[in-house]
Amino acid sequence: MPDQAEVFLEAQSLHKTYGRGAAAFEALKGVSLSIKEGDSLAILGKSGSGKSTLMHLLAGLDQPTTGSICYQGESLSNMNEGQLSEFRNHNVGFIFQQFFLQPTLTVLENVILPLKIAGESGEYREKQAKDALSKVGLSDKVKNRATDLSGGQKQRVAIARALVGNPKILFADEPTGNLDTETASEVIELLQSLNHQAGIILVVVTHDPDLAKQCRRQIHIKDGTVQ
Amino acid sequence: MKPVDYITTAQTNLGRSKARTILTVFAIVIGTFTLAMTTAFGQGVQQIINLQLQAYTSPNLVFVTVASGSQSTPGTIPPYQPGRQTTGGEGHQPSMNQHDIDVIKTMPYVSAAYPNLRVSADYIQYGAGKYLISLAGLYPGSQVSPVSGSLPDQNSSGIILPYPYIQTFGASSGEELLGKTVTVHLTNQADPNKQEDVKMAITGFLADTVHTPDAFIPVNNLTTLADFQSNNKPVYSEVAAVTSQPLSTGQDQALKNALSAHGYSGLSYLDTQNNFRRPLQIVKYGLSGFAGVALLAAAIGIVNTLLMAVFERTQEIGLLKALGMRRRGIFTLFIAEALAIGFWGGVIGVGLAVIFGRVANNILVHGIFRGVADTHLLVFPIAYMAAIIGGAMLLGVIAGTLPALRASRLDPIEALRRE
Repeated sequence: MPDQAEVFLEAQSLHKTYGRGAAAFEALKGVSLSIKEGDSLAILGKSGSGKSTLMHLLAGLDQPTTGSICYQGESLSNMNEGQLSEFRNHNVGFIFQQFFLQPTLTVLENVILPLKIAGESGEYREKQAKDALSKVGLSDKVKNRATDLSGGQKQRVAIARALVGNPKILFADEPTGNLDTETASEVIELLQSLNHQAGIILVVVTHDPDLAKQCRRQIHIKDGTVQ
Repeated sequence: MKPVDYITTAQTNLGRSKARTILTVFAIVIGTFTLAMTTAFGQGVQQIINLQLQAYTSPNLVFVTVASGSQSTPGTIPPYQPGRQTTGGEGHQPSMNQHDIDVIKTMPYVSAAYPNLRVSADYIQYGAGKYLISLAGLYPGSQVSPVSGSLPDQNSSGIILPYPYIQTFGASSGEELLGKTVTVHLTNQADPNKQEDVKMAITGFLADTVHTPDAFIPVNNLTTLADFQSNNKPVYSEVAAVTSQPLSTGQDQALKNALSAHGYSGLSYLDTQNNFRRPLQIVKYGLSGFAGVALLAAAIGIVNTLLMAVFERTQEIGLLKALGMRRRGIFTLFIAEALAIGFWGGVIGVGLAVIFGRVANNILVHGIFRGVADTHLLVFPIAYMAAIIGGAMLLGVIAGTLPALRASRLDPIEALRRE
């Protein structure tokens, strides 16, 4: 990633407080960061440090109490619920520790889901989903039930689902947390290749030092602030 | 999502807990089935009443009797009045005369009035066969409706016969007999040697009914026959008042008030219809009430089923939201499920009712309605059946609103965190 790359995401003095009055809990106490095109960032921290909250805010899943998040100059705080949903649908990919595949659907149907939400036509979304599955090396599992796959395969399906809308940025929340060492390294390799070859920005929340090391930058969160 | 995606996703989701869905749908089926049957029964009875009444009387007729008769005030014997006597048969109904007819002619909406006579002829002859016959008068403007042919012209010597005469005369259809001549044979009541043969042309046949009605001939011809039989002294207790058109409920009431002010009592077509309908309507309302209670219980079932679905699928809802589905989308998804439950409940309930109705009609046609052509006790008008299905879907939407709102308001982060 060249140093003069454009800033893609800019977060300024993010505060997030849950609850009110005496029960109020400040999960984030003024976090600022910026992410450039092609960047990869690992957010490290203990559980309860505020790292997941930070990711949720950056991804537009939640709104900061104060502070601002701008994507290519466009502020998320100006968006209403509908615009924010559309923003996530078109610009952001999510990968979760628990995969969140729908057991009743096939692999292909799981991958199609974001495009279905977007209201794309059947033919287009099937083609896109097959492309995404070939990128994660699961072209032969298209018709399988999601429940028939191994843990590593499930996470690759989840990655295909994150990729299917061609997002600029992927948010991964402990993507290797439920995998053994070998499959974890396969998943890490896949994420890295997406970053290096396709230029997709990667934001990973993790405990996993192997995964964190692979990212260009690491930030540590402790008690709601960047260390 | 596209509308078709909402529908297919809703169907798929319902299929995920089949037993629960089937039970919920079944609850609605009970309600819609009962409603469909009740409607079919009401419609069928309505049709039968109209069909039967049309063979006896016409909507432009009001039958007028003396109000002091025991028909009007049951349990009493009217005092003697000059010019009035009993007319035989039950009821001690006083006879009426030309004076009554003159008064009745002046009543509102009445255009003509005639003695309501019956003539029991000796026989009617067609070819070599002689059969019993009872004749009644056909009044001007009558809307008695024939199933074949037409009503005789007032100035003709035509006759319209009840349906069973078709078979009795050895024909397979009414059309075969149209224009054929029959002979009606009469005997003078005072002098058995005075006999008369009257030739009449068949103009049509009346609808088939449970009880065979009288044959109709133009009222003036009937009066002539009655005069011959009784030496110009026919006795009658009822006057047929002909109105210029069928009366509305208000006009009907106005006429009856005027009659009652002159000591008469009137029985209109509407009264006759209502007398038949009233007991059936009580049955109908009772069954509808039962269907209503069943549907209310079914609606609670839908709420329960969908609340359970929201609870079970919390994580999935969180995922859909994270992937960009709007609150409105989640809401629509659950409403679509409620709509589908209502739809299937309606379609299955109405479908079962139609199948059941076919079987029941078949049994009845070969049972109590045997020989009565084209009689269906259960009639399923498409518009009503569609309305029941639509109503079940609306019920689904109303019941689905609370669970759908709850689903749409879930916080995606909380939802995804749930194990």
